[in-house]
Amino acid sequence: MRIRSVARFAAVLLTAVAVPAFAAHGTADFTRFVALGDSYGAGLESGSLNEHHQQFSWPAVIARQAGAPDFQQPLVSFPGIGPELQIIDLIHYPPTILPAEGTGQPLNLNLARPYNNLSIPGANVADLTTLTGAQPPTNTQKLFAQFILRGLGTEVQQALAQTPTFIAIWIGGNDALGAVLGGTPAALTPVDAFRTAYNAMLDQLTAGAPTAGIVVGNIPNNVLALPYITTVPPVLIDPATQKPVIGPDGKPVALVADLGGGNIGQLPAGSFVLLPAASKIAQGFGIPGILKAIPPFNQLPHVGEPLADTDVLTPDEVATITQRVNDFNAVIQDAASSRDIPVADIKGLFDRVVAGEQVGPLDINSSFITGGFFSLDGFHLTDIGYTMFADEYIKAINHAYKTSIALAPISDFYVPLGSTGSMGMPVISPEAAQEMLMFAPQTHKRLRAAGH
Amino acid sequence: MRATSSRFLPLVFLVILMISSAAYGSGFALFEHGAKAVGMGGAFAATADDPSAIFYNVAGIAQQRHGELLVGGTAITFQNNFTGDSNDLWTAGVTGQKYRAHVFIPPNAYAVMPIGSNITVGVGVFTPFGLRTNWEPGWVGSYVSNDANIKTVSIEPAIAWQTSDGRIAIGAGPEYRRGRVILSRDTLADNPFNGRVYDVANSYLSSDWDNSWGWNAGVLFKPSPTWRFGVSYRSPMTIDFKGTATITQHPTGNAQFDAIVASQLPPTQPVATSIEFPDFLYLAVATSAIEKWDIEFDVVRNNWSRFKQLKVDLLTTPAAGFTRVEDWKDTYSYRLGANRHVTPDWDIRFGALYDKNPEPITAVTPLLPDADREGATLGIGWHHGPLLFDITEFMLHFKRRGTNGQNPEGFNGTYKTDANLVSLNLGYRF
Repeated sequence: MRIRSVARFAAVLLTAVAVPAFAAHGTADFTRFVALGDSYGAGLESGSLNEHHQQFSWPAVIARQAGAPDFQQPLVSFPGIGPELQIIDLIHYPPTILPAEGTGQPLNLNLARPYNNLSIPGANVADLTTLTGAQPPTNTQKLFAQFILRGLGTEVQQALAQTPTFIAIWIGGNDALGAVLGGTPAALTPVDAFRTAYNAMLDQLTAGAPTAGIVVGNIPNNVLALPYITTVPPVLIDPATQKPVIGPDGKPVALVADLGGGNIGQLPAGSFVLLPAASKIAQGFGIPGILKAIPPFNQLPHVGEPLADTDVLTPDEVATITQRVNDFNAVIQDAASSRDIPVADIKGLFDRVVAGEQVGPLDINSSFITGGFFSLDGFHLTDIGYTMFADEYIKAINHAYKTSIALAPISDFYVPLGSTGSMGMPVISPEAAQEMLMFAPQTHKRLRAAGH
Repeated sequence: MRATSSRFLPLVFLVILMISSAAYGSGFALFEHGAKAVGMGGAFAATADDPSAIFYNVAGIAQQRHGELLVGGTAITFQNNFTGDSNDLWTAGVTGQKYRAHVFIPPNAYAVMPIGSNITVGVGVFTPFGLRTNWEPGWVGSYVSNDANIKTVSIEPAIAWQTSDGRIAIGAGPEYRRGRVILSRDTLADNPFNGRVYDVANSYLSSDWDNSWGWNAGVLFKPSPTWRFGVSYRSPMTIDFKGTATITQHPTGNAQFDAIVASQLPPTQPVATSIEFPDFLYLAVATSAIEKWDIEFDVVRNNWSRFKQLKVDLLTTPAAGFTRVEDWKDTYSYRLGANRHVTPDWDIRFGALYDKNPEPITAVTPLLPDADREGATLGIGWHHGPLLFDITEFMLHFKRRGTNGQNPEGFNGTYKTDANLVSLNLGYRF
């Protein structure tokens, strides 16, 4: 009797262990794989959407690893829409980065079906169910939607039109990023609006593709991760020594900015100056007026004029943004869990990169230019960064769906001695380049980044 | 009945020792120093009846009451394969990478000469340690190691004495060991101009031939005409190596990137390192109780716990040096061999061996991906008049060894290795 009850208890225990606590939504069948998202999903890199890097968009990497057939993307020829930023001079300080000359053209406009990768640079959560590409191009996402969505319906509608077997989504970054890049929390999407939009998006997808596997991802809450935020110090740097200028009080001299609502003052400790402001500081903006007559600052035309509110993030603004992203992540976790959808830990990936992630011989970190993870625009990823992003999704898929999709290795970017090392980079003849230039607006915007 | 059980008691004792030992393995030690001994799976410390006894159990030369020269070598070839860990961001999907093809031939030579009726002197030359792991071009682990080469050669004068009835023999000798170490690895760096990872430089650490002294001693005990016991010990040794670290930059074609790399590379400079070689203890039992058969079983204790680290000091720029934690464990090797006297001139030999490996999982690297080893040997011996000829085929299988995500340098995967060895010796008695 006693033995039998023990056996029964063991059987119950085994049953409890054998039944997974988490039954994933649908199945992991990549026959018709679609991806929804924003510029990260599109593979935007160094300020440019172009085919050199679209082939390493995180959805494209997952498609390759999972063997998804005929994975079509809205490819754009080099140098891309947004001509790609390139390093011109890394030897002298500060480094010089310029956009490539010319502009790229869509290469896959005539595809007779929706793209598998429907990611729209600039899209926020609500855009997934509202943008169709038929709207006038009044903002970034509407501009890109014109040739990615082509008026054929929203991202969600075009995904469902393909009767997808698997759907990967990463969305929500732009609901916070506008505030980060614009230096103002006013651009944050309200949490309720985010919740409504996120659930509406998942409701439409699960209703339209009830048997498809789905994976989503959370959002990095660590604004310190972005070189766009962290590269330019909030204090005055002596151009000769590259060290902070020390004031009479023995502390580094803080830059001056509009701290909000026209309140001009020195940046409090814990403030951030956004990357593009580097070029303004080089002209004297943000440098306290008291230094107007002192060399070398007397050479600069705008000493004494503050940086704009949109050039800086104060500690209060950082705290507000971080909290909002935490709220977004709670919404994503709830929305996903209630539908048995796994969540890729992209926040965790960014945290690891900020700490410095050893990948084989490489120390992947969040440094500008040299960190290996963020591209030259300071907030989009490199090919390696997007591959690590995709690997985070693959881990989530494998865990939830009990699949064994191989991670995409970073050693694929290794150029062994004696090989050409072009790795997917098309050779562009001078004639082809000339032809491209005929269509290109001449861009000479010069971005001088203040260090790395 | 009683006689039988006492006869097998020593074997039982050794089997118990084998089972109860927390056993590990073999590292970069070589034991292939005589084709007859290899033919018996390396189980030779209780038989020790040819001049290679200077390596296996020096007391054994006392029973050799004639002069003899013995020379030979072992041709070693490897087949190996590295498969990346599907969870490792660097190695996932890597398959089929391997060593460049090499044939290694560690040589050996011995001479023994009896003096009077109880003493024999001799000298042996052999290579007690050796390693070569030279990975093919394009190797994704080149930043850990793309070539490791440890060479040694020992010269050992020996003297042994036995009682007049031949029941007990003792022997000893100093060992003069020379060695050389070459370590080559590459520096890989992310090129920010195109986001690709380049092999930007090679560090080639090449030592001089440096040396040290040790000793070895052995005892051979024959309680009856059919039973033999051997104990043999080879001392630990430390060789301090000095040499040169040659740093060679590999141009990538991007002048700015190359200039930045050049500004960060250490200069070519003197280098120093040290290797702690282990000591070995052989416990051996052999019997001729079965007519025309000699059967031997040896247990070897390898004191690999001496090998705690590989520390390379760059003397001009110390910060560029490195220390690789090894923390090897003491191990045991088990060897079983048999020699069948087919005719007065011909012998046939069989052997089997099992070596536990000394490397903790964190020390499994491309420099030496060791694993537990299983081996089988088949040998033939011919002796006629003053001439001897021994040849042995030896197949050695390394069990698959995976790093299980624990490699401290972030280089994870599974190594498979097989070796084929052919040992050959020629002898002349006078």
